[in-house]
Amino acid sequence: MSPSTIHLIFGSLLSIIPVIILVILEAGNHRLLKPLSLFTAITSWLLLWPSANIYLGSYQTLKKVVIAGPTPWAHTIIMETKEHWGLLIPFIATLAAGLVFSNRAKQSAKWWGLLSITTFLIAAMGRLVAISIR
Amino acid sequence: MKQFNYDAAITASSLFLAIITISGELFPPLKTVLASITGHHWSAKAILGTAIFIIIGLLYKKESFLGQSFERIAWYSVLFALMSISVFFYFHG
Repeated sequence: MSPSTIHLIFGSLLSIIPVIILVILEAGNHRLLKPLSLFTAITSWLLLWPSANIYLGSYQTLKKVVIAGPTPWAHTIIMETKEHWGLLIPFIATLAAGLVFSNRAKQSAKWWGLLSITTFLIAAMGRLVAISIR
Repeated sequence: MKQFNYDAAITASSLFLAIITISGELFPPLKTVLASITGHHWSAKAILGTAIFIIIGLLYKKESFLGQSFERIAWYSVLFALMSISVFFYFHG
């Protein structure tokens, strides 16, 4: 499996699973809460590997194409924001999971919501950059 | 032993990432120094941010700062970091 595929799968999981966690929190069925929280936090850290592989590898050549092309903002605004927002993802996921494991599950809800929205926006930014490369 | 202080940890690491990112763009030698640590400024920020997250989470035990709870400070610090990074690159890019 290529780093791009892993990046896509892990990123999607980080957007979807927090929504499932929020549903579980709302329903009051806490049996799956801790395993899913732990899985999400671990996934958020593992995602750094394919992200680094792509961003520090193949993207460095593509970056020059984007900057020299008709949409340089795809790198200077979108990709720069995406790459730095991405660094915050493991901290947000770890905090949310940490709250669940510290018996503060209720307080974790807003962090799961933020994680899902931020990850979704990062994915949308990635799509914009990919379109600009074509 | 008290629990890991997640709120203080994310406050410190998110503010660090926002400040180091914006400072590095405004003062390129800083970006060069970061790159000299790991080969690229992005990975250096990831490692330093993680180190700050762990150290502050383990060592900082207070649950408030200047009369405000860390739970509240953490939330607004992360929102500030996300917004400041995007707004900065919007105008700087």
